[in-house]
Amino acid sequence: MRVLRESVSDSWWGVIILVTATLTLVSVMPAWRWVWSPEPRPVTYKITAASFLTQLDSMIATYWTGDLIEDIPLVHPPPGDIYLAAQRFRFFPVLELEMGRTYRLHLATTDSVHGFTFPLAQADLLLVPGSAAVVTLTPGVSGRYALQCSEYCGLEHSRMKGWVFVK
Amino acid sequence: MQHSPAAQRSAKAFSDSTAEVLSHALARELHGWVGLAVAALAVAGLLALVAVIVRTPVLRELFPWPWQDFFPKVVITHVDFSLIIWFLSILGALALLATARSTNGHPRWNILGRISLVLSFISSLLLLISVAFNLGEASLNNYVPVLTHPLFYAGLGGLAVGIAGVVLRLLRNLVPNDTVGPFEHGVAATGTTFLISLVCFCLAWTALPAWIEPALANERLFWGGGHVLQFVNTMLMLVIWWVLTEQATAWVIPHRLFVGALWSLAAVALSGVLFYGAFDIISLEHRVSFTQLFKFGLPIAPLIISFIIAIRLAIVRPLLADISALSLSLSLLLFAVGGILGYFLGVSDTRIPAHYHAVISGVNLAVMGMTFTLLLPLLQRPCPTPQAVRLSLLLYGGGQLVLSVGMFAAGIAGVPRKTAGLEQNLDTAVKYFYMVVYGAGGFIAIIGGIYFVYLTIRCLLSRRIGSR
Ligand SMILES: [Cu+2]
Repeated sequence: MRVLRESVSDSWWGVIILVTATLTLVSVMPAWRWVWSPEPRPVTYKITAASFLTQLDSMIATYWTGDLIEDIPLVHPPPGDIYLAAQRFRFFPVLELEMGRTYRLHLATTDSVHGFTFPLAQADLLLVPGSAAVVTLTPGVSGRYALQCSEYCGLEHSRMKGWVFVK
Repeated sequence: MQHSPAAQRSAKAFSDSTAEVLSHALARELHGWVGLAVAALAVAGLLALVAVIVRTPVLRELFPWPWQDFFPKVVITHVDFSLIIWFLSILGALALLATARSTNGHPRWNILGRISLVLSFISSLLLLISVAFNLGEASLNNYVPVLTHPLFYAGLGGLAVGIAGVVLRLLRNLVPNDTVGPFEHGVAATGTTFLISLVCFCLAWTALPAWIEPALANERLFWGGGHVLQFVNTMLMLVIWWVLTEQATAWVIPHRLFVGALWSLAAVALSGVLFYGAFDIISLEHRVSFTQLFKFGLPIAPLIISFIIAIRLAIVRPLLADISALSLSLSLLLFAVGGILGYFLGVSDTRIPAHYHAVISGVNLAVMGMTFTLLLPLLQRPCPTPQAVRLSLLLYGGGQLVLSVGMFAAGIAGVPRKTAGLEQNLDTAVKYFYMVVYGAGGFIAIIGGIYFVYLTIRCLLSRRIGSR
């Protein structure tokens, strides 16, 4: 009898609310990600590490400012196509961009898989060998913006950061 | 009319009714699981000490191998002992108690428990041997960092099988049994979620392509199952909250709500298995889907349960001198702080460790409290004095609170994660101040943790009360 009374006084409402709330949240999860996500799906194309490095090197050779930031060249390319490589455990080179101009940022890894998180371009990408991604950005405010690797890639992954300067 | 065991028990305190069904053999097995849990913490502490020595200029020359290589391996093993083995052996202990309660102390497949315990011990030793002989390469991937050596993986696999064994014994004994109370349901749901994490590890293992490098392979191998293991830890804490609430306020969380909460978490974790079919394992979607499962699937149940417990505590106002009430309150506080911080994370600064330090110490405080109020009394060992227990709980909980809040503030001020010394760009005095604060908090928490381990080991090694 005692058990019976206890189970009657134990209302079903609480559990119904709890289970419904949990399941609703979980089921809207995919929608949340893909409908309200600010990130556009990036355009990708096939490359080889060597071909990408050739384009990167020619950009650096032409537009190097002469400055080094932590031993990495600071490059000031004109608006349009610009290149950035992810390699264990750095991003190469450091880019200097102009406010209000539009750039097509080509990104690729030249060794293993890396991640690319760059809040300024609202980008969170996976960089897989053999493929480059293109992100369009028009920086609005001057400053120093951090970008970093978001995929565990080795013991020094947590130090794999880079910078973009906007003038 | 024949009363069912559950009906007879309902009038009695949880720990008393558990003590009644704990046969001599089961009590000895319980001693083993609690021993493994505390030994894991003690080993983790020693490894932390080794890590410090390995970083100290003259002392590090004492090791036969290059310290740069050895240091991350020591850190990795420390993490696995202090998070994985510690929590899983507590799960083993709770699975044993639930088994005993649902079978009146006479479980089927009883030998499985002893085998599981021995296997878990040997597997933990394999991890220690791997680090002692500097085997493999270090991989600091998320959730279950590893040394890339067969012996280390064998240890992890053996541990998984060992815990699965004691969970399966529980499930075997629950199936034909209709006298399953909320505690048994809760542990069964937690154990089932542990089995789900193993399914995720296996699916990941089979899905990994041959071409990826070890760093990413380990990251993806442990990513999904690692998330599910955090569900297991949370559920473990909810079950312990149920026990502590009963002890502190002589009241139980409404049966259906509690059981619904635990099984709904298991259902959410199970939906994670689908991600292995939906997305390529290397893809960004695979990574993001599990973090989303976390954000959307985990919080409701702990939120509602902790709210109910907080209201109950506010009504009953148990003395905080009471160990159950103190550990329950501290656990609620730290878990709530950590949960809130979790929604304000940066990409990769000290806000992330701030969040998980708070959440994990919330789980730890619940386990520490239950060790003193349930596990050690069940083993009939002379327990430490309430003053000593309170001191260890307050040092650990207070230290962790300062540590997490300080770390979070430092994260906002912009200290990068997982680096030490000069690289931290301490360009402002503010950051430096927060780092000193969280350093001090961490130090206090470590003292509290060491004190807990000391008290528990002393208790476990002492003779049973009444034996000569
Ligand atoms: Cu990387």
